[in-house]
Amino acid sequence: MRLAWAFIRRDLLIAASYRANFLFALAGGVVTITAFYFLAKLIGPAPLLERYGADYFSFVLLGLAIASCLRTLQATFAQRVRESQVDGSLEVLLGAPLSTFRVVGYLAAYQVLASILKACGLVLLGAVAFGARLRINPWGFGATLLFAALPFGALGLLSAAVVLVFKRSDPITYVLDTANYLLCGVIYPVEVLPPPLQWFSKLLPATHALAALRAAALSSAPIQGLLPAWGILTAFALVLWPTAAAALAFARRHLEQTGTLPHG
Amino acid sequence: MAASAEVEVLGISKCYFPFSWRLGAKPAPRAALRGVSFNVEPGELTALIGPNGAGKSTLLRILAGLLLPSEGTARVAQLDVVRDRPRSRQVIGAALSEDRGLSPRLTVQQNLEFYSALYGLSSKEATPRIRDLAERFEASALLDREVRTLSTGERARAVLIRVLLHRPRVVLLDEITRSLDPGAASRLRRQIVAEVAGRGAAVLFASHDLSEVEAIASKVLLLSGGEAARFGSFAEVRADAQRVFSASSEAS
Repeated sequence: MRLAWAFIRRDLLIAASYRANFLFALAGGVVTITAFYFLAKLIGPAPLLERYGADYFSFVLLGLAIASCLRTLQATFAQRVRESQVDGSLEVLLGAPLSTFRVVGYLAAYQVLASILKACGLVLLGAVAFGARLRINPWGFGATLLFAALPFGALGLLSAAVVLVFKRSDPITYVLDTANYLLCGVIYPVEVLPPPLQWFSKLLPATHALAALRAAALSSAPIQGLLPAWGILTAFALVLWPTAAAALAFARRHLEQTGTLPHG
Repeated sequence: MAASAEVEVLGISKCYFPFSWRLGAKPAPRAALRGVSFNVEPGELTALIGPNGAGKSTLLRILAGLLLPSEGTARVAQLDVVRDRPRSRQVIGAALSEDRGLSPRLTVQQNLEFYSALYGLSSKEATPRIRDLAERFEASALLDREVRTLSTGERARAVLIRVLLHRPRVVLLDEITRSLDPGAASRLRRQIVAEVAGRGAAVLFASHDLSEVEAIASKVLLLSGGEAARFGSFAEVRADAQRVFSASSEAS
């Protein structure tokens, strides 16, 4: 924990030194919420959303907040590795007596925490200032978030392995990010998609994570109702974690064989 | 190899295999090191010299556990740098070329606290060590300054403090005085002799500067084309070093 805190503290201090960036990020979130608030007014009541127990604004607010967290998990490991390659600190960090897995994991810790806090802040703002209707089962929501973090963390580590080897390219994040926003029900329900795409969306963990998190936050779904999603997310994690661990080990070995670790 | 050696290098070779997208193309491998062997005793300052591309940085990276050798073995403080990773990295302090490990927007103190944690030091242990090292390296006034405001010489001293925080038994320095003016370089050299080697650490430093090597090195390893051309005292190596350097400058 001390080590994780050291990384979080360092990145927090660096983030705090860029005050304007922090304010712009916050303002960006508020602008997005506002835009969707008026869009929801235009749409009005949507029969397709009845099964979610929510109006469009509440639906999309949760979708954007959750997707932003999941996206951070999926993309931050690779981004932080890339930043460290470019600023030259990666070699020094990997020269410490730590596994590659821990270095890459801790590098992203602050961003992941900040993203969760930002998402919670936006949901709170949406509820308080814009009247989003939330009926949260807090334990169910928290546990589902943890289960969702498992496959997305693994996908993030997999992306980081790709960036360690190929430096600039991160096709995994790009493809999954696009697929998540198009197919997994971030800003519209999966039910509006044609049946083949609805079927395909079930192969992506984001679909199950979003559905379960919305159920926990919008209609206070009980734990029993969330269990199937937890099972599916765990199954994804069981496949993805060993793959990510193997990919990181391969990437480290590749760097050590080719001598490309110091290359930006 | 002597049993007491802190650094033992035995027949280390390193080959790079360039990659080509052309089908059927097999670019020739490039040998960066060929069968290099030597050792460094505790408290000894060994210089790695040789022209650009001689293999100095490659050798230091292998010892730091950041590069795998193609052949041979290397041990630091009796730990194999390949088999005993990441434990072997605990006994090493390294400032490799273009060391940019310090975050520019943090103060020197904040950076050093971060690296202390990386090497398993509690803040109770780290605080007095940072203060003590800063005093010894005449850097107490730098602790509260952001790294981006430091001069090159001040930054080199901060890097050296970072390297020594966890009291490494083996210190690897890659041209740490390269960008410094003569006065700052000479001051840093004196500090390395007194505060690093003087306290029992085995030091291996790469340098192009023969006067620097003559001033502080107890032994010199001359690398040429990836091979150990000579290993001994500066007096023993000097003539070969001059020959290798002049051949290299004629070739370029």
